Amino acid sequence: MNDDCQLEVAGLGYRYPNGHRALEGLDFRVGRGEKLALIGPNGSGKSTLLLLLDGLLHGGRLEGEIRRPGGTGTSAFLFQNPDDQMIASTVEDDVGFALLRDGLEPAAVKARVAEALRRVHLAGYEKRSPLELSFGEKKRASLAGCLIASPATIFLDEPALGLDPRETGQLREILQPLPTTIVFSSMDFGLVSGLADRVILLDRGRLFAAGPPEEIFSDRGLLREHGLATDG
Amino acid sequence: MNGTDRAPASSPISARHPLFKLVLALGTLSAFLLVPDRTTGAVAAKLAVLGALFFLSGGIGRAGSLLRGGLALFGFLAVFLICALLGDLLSGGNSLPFFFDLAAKSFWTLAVSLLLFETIRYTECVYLSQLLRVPHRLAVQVLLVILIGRKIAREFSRVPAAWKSRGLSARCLRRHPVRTAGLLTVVLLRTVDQGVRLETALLGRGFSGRLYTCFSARWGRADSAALFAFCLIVLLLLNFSSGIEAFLNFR
Repeated sequence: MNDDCQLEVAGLGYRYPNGHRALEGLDFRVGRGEKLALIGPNGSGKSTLLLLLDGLLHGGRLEGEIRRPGGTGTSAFLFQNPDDQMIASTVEDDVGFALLRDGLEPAAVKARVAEALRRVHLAGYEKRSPLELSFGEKKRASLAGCLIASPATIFLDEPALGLDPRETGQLREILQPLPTTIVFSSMDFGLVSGLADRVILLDRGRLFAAGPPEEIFSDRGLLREHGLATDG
Repeated sequence: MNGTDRAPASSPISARHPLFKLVLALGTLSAFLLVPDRTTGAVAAKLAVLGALFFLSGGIGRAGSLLRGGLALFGFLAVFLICALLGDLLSGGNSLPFFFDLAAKSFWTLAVSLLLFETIRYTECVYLSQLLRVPHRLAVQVLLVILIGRKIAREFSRVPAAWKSRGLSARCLRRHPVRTAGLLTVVLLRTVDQGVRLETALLGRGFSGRLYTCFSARWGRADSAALFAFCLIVLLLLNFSSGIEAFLNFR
C-alpha cells in the first residue's frame, strides 16, 4: 500500500435491493490531494459509486472492498440536487452544521460561515431560507457547507449541474487550489479538463478507461462509443 | 410549532424572544382551555384576545393561511357532527353538548396554534430545545418530524401545478376517482422518497443525533414589558368579560 493513497477500490461491485446491478469489478486508487473525475453517460453508476465511497449507501449487495490506507479522516458529500443536501432552515445553520456538530461556539461558527459564504460569492445570505434561493445559489451554499470544516476528502456529485458558465468558472477557482482529495462526477468536460488530475470513464457500472483528461478527451472514438460525444 | 416559517418575521410578536413566544402561546392556550365557554362574556373576551393576537402577529397578511386552517377544522367538525347526530338518532342519546364543547376547544386550540405557535420559527425551535435543555433524543425526534413535514408539504405543494401541466383539471380528477387515487399514491411514494433523501442528507452531513443552530437571543426589557402587558391585557379582558356578563344579567 502506498502512503500517498487516500482511497483504494478493489473488485468493487454493487447491486441495489431491487436486483439492479449498478457497479461491477471496479479497481482504482485515489492519491492524497488528487482530483479525480468520474465521467460516463447517464445511469453509468457515477452517483452510486460516489455514495458508496462516502459510505452513504446501505442495503443492497456490496462486493469487493473500499480501503482507506491513510485512515478514514473526515469527508463531505455534495449531492447532485441541493434540495437533498440542505437540512436546516437558514443558510447560516446549514453551512455551519459541521462546525456546530464539532462543538464550536456559535459566534466562531458565524464568522467562519460568513467567510465560507464570501468564498462562494454568497456574502450576506446568512439569514436567508434555503427555500428562497435559486438552484445555483443552493448549490453554492451546499458547497460552502462541504468546504467549511476542511474535510480530508470531498465527494461532489455533478457539482456544475445547474450552474451558469461564470459560476462553473468560480467553482473551478474555488476547488483548484484546495489540498483536499476530491472525487467528483461531471458531464461538464470544461470543468473536468480544468480541475481533474485524472479521469475515470464509467459505463454500465464498469470502468472502461482511466487517465489524464487530455488523453481521455482526445480519444473521440472512445467518447463516441460511450455516448459522450456525437459524430458531428 | 412552526413547520413552514410562514408567519412574517417582522410582526410585534414574531420579533420577540422565542421563550416569550412559547410562554405566550402556552399561557394563552391554557387560559382559553381552562376558562369555560359557558358565558357570553368569556367567549367575547377570548375573541377579543384572538383579535389582538391576529393583528400583533402579522394581521391581514396571514389571513389566507389562517382561513385554510379554519376550513380544515370546519370540515373535520362537520363530519364529526354528522356522526354525532347519526349516533343520537340510532341510540336516542344526546351528544350535542359534548360536540359543542369539543368544537369550541378545537377552535381555540387551532386559533392559538396558528396565531402564536407559527411565529416560532424552526431555528428558534432548535434554540429553545437547547435553552430549555430538552433531552436530545426527544428534541431531535420532534425537530426531525418538523423537517420531514416541511419536505412533505413542499412535495404536496408541487402537485397541483404538476397535474395542471398534464391537463388534469379538478373536474377530471373528480370524474375518475380510481385514477385520482393512483395519482395520490404516487405522491405518497414521493414523500417516502423525500424521507429517504433526508436521511441520506443527514448521514452525509455527519448527523450524530443532534440538530444545531447559530441562532441566539437575549431576553430584553422589551420582552419583559411585552409579557407584563400581555398578562395585564388578559386580566383586563377577563374583568371586562365579567362586566359584560353583569350587564347582560342586569338587562
